[in-house]
Amino acid sequence: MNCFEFRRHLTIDPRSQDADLLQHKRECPACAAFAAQQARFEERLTEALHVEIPAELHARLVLNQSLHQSRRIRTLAIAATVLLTIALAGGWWQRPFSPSLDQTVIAHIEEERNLLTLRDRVPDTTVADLSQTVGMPLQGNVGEVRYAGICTIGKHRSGHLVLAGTKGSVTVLLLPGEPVARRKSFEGGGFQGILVPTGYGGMAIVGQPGEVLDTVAHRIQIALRG
Amino acid sequence: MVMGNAQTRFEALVNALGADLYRFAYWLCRDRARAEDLVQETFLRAWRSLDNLREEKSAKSWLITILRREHARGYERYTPERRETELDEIAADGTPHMEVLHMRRELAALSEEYREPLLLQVLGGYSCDQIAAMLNLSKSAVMTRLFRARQKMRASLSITPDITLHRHLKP
Repeated sequence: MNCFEFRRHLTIDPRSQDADLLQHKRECPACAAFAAQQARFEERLTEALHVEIPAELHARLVLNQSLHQSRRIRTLAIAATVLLTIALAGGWWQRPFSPSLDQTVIAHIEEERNLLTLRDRVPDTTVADLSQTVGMPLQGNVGEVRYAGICTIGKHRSGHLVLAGTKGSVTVLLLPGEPVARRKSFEGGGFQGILVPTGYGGMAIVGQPGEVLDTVAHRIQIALRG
Repeated sequence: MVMGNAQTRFEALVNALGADLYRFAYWLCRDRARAEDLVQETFLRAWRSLDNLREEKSAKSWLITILRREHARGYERYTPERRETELDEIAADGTPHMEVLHMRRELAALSEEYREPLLLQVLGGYSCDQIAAMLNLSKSAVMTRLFRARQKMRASLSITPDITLHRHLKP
């Protein structure tokens, strides 16, 4: 390597560790001086390029991304709402008329009104086995159960319990195939009832007027969580 | 990818490379506000396609590629009016040493074809081969540009010795 090649190479790549370059630098004092000046030039160049970063730049970059993410989630939520509305609207006129879940529940209880007169206590193990079979396993005390059976409500297999209440018998229907979005009260056939969501599906609790149904619902939900 | 992991990964990228990206953008467009916009847009695009980043070691060149593309796209619709005072503002950023101040003026005045390979080499730490690949140039073209960029700056800053000015060079 001659001096010209050395200086050209060093000007192109000042951080080069090429063996020939290093050897020439050791052997040629003039080029060693050039290399020293080049190193100083590079230091200043690096310093010149390192301009100050705006205060809080990193925080703003992350914030911008978070806002973008929130906007994206909001957009997706709006899109989902629109799709759901369209689906519901479409379903409204396409589906044949069918009774609501609370009407179905009242009709079922009226059909089996005789179960409300039973007084014998059903063993806890029977209640546990039945609830396990329908896919809504109850563990622990749910109260005094006077009937436990499996029946079909709508198109789904459901658990039918009759419990002793404060105003008479209380019917509890375990409805794993009927999801319930939120608590809803209803009346019919001389009964009052509530529909409540559970982790396994919906649940209907129906009793005489004045019965505190939420207390029963709370007891059943605790038993469902085990 | 789990959202939490993606978020952590994104923030790690911002912390590790945000400053380098900003400086690269700054010298590319020579405008503080535009530089920050470029970096914001770059990281936003990176976030949207973070799954495409397979290895963290290639993150820097990936981000620089996005940033250069954004810069080129922006340049098509936005040609900045260069103000005389802007060079002074750039030079004086951070109240540097007088020599650094002059060097910044020269860097800002350097044409983009010379400035960009220099930025990639000094700020990015890339080799001539890597720069050639990033700029879609031959290696010899990159070497020529790096050589000329430094020569121009030396000449403007009256730094000697210049390699052509000495008679006692070894053959």
